[in-house]
Amino acid sequence: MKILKHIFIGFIITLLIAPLQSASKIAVTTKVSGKVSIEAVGNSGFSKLKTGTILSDGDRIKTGADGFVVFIYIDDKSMIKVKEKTEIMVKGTRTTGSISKQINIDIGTLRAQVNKQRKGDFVVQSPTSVASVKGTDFWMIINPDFGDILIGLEGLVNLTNLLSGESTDVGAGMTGTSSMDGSVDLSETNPDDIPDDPDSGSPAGTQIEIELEGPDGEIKTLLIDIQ
Amino acid sequence: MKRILIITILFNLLHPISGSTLFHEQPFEARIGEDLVLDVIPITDIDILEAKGYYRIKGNLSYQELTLVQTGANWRMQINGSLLSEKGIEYCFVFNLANGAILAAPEVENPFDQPFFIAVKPKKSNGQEKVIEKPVFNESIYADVLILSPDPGSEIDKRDIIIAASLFNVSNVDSSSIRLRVNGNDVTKKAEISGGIIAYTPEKMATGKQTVEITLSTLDGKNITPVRWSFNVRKGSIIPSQFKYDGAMTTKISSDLVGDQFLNISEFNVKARVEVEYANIRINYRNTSRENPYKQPLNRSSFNVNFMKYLNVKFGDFYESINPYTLDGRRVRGVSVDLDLRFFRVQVIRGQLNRPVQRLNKIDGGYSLLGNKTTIDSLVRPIFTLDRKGYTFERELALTRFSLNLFNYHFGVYFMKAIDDINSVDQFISGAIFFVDSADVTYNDSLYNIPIGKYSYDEFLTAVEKVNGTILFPTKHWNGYKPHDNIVVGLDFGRVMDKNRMKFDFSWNMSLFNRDIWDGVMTRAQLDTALDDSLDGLIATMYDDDGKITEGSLNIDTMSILNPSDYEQIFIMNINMLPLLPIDPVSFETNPISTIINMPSSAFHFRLSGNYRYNKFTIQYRQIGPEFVSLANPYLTNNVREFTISDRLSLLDNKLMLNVMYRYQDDKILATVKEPLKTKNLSFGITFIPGPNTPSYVINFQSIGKNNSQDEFERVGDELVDFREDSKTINTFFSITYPFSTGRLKHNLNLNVNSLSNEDMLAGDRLKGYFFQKSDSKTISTALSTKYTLPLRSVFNVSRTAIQVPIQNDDGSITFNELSWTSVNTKGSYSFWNNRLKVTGGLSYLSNKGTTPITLFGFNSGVEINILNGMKAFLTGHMQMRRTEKETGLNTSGVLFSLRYNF
Repeated sequence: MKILKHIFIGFIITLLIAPLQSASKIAVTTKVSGKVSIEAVGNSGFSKLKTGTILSDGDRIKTGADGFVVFIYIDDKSMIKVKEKTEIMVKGTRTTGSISKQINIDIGTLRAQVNKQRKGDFVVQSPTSVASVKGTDFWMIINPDFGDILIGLEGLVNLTNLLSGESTDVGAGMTGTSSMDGSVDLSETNPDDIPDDPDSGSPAGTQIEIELEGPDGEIKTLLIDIQ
Repeated sequence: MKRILIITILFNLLHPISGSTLFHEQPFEARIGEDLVLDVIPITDIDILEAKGYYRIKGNLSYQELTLVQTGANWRMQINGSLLSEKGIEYCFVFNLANGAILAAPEVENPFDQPFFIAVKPKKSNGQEKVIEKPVFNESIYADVLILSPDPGSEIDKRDIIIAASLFNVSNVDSSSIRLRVNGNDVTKKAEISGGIIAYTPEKMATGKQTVEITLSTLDGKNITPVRWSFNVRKGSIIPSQFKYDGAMTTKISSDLVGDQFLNISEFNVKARVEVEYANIRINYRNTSRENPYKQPLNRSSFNVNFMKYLNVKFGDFYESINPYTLDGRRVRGVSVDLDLRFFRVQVIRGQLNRPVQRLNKIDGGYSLLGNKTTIDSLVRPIFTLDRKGYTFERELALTRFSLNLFNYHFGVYFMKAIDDINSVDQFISGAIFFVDSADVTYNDSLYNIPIGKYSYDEFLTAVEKVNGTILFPTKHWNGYKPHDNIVVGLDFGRVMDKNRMKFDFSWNMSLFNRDIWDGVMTRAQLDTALDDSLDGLIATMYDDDGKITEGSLNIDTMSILNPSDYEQIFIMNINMLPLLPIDPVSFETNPISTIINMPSSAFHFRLSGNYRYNKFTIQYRQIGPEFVSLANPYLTNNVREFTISDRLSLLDNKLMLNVMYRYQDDKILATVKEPLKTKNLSFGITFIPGPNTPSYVINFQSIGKNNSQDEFERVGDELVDFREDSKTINTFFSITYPFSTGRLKHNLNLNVNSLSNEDMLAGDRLKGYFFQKSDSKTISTALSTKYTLPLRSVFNVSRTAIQVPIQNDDGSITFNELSWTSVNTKGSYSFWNNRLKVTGGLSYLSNKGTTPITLFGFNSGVEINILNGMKAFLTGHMQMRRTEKETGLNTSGVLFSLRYNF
């Protein structure tokens, strides 16, 4: 009986101390634009998120109407891009040699680019679905009223509806939908449905190259540097 | 991991891989600062699942892993020049094949123990680059420092610079020893070093090549091999230097037999997207054989240009949503411009909600003879009355919204106008046929020798002239649709609070609707007599027999209010307006606020929503007046006011969710409503989802109470009738999903139970013979989906729904007729050739028992072929047989072929 009492006291103390322990650092933001705020685990209220912020297990990130943020997990460089009007919780459990990663998303749109040399599990969970990542690149769009849309860009992602347990593997060029009625469907991706990635399409150069032909046929190239 | 890989390679080397090998020609030398490119050629017919390269500085224990990139027949590993060391590089290649075999180079017992070796020469010095003082390498140990950002050799924009590295895979690091140098300058103090992460965001950085160096040592003082890499910083460019495009073309042909009718449809779709740095262009085009000039368009074409998120311009068919009170996702064909400067936004939409349709494609689809209006003139010559029908006016939309977004507030105002163009429908149309029959003529049973038959307008005119008759054909006021006019003005206001966790928003709207604008705007004289019969310069003024103004007259001076003609371009005011008076002037004098709020043509809502870590709630009051109309959102339910409160609690790390919602709804907006219909809806739900591969549970309970406020019986003639309603509907839902495995098969078993029952709360106080008509129902369904180790999946589904329909017998007693449906479905899919060919098939069975028993059997099958990279063809077919007590026959069948090319 005494042992049980000690176990109970120990359990209560553990519960009380647990929130005071610093959460493990798991990722770092590499790009922040527009209105993006963070509610750091253990803190109350959102504050402005900046590039270079080190993220901990349990941090919440919220993007505004023009917000966009990119962060990278520190074990394998798996990259998460979060678009506007999105709310997520960044989660990750550090184990030997890897981080077991999870993104809880309530609403909005994110892109997960999981490193091919990925370590640990990678799961995206919404109130309706769980996407268990086997592949490398996909978009996930969460709408609490209708359900979830997963657009596979590369590799394979297993999409499971939590209400019905139905699941499907979503490959590249395919779109999986997981609805509030428990159904899971798979169809060809409509290119129009793929969200724009604000982080792609960065310019490769800052020069204009113009070929000029002289009177005797020689070609000269004019290079204009854009300031 | 490496040990497992080695064991796997050894195991696979025992198996002869006939004819499969890796060919690699070693480069002669490598040099620090210059990327080392190592190519390998797999000589095998078997598909390659994964190709990896491993390298290490000679003397180190661990290898770095890289995924090989295929370049033609070659697979390439490129080692960043900054990571090379004069000690030399050791490396090997490992390929995983589709048949489970592994190829390795060098082909030795253990390529990790006997790797390739290449000598590395010192860095070339050109005298311009800054020489970084090298630490002592001799006693350093290699560690797996992961460069997070920027990637070595990458080129990045000035605005996006962040230097970050991870020491996640490095143990025993002495944090105090970490030094971060950028171009030789020590920036360690400006960097954030925490939890094994080094992150530094430079305030300014020059363009051009940048070099980063991280030096560190272990807790026992041993130096770790420094990590150095470089990247380029470029200037911001205004030239669209990157051009990307993608899209898809799809063609579909289908043929279905429904009853004895064939329905053949073909469709062609193109969707394309072009991205340049500051603009995004989308093009959509759809051409379908279902396009029909007698209906609204089904073809679609649109062109959308988005400039840097600030300006979005759309041409063609688009689906914009401003708010539920104006335009909410309905198709518009026209132009949409959205200028969003974040703090200020302008949205302008101009276009067509309906295109003009002249007639329907059937007899009497454009003209009809109004037989009961046939008359004779003074010379006893017949006058036939013709009417126009089957038409749709062109409906034009104009909508503008301005909004400000400052600090935590937003404020918006908007104006919407939708009007039918009365000139868009012609009085005389070609091809329209109508039927003429003497039985339709009520004036006289004869058509004056006009033969019975189908006529065009010209043919009928000729026939009428032969009998010396005339045709009366009004130019307007046809009996078909009346042309409408509608405006909505509104404003919205909102505020975010408590660090964005709480949001308040409010929207108020008012509409004016004109049901018939054939006669255009009213004059002042018509306005004067709109509410009374006297043209006396006073509106709503009544007189008694002595010519004195009666009590209660409003006596509004006609000249004191606006002239409707002056506002004709904004809204056509006439006697068909709804409401005729937006505000009740009598009520306004006593209760101005209440009068404005309860205007029959207003709609508004207040909403407070909270978004907290474990709790999300919404409190909302919404009211839509009985005369509120938006032609751009005709599906908005009016004459309703409702109060909603809902809360979602997320517990146990989002694994347990509790939902509670209460909604009260009635239609008592106008004071004249004495017996409102009240609906109370209470729902409660528990969802427990422990995580993937564990059972999950959902329980929902919903109670809906309806009461029409009637307390007494009504007398209809001599009979007392019970119109009272006080009922309660209970809806319960339970679902469990249980994943399990048998051997190597993975299953998912799902069970759903849904029950709906109704109770008459006045059952003990009903008149004899009262009939409570609501039906109870119960559904039980179960599904078993199985995933095999083969590329085969199957789903088996059984469900049964039973509805208890009450029937009142002649003697007034109530019996229940049970209608039930039982369905069994199974489907499966199998993939061949690494998913290039996929075959699907399914069987279905549906049996109905009740008044008209029926059984449906069906099967479907399909094949999906990946023809080329990006090109897929689909062929599916289905057939369903129908069996009744009398016969068995084909119910439906069809085939669909689709070809899709993604580019």
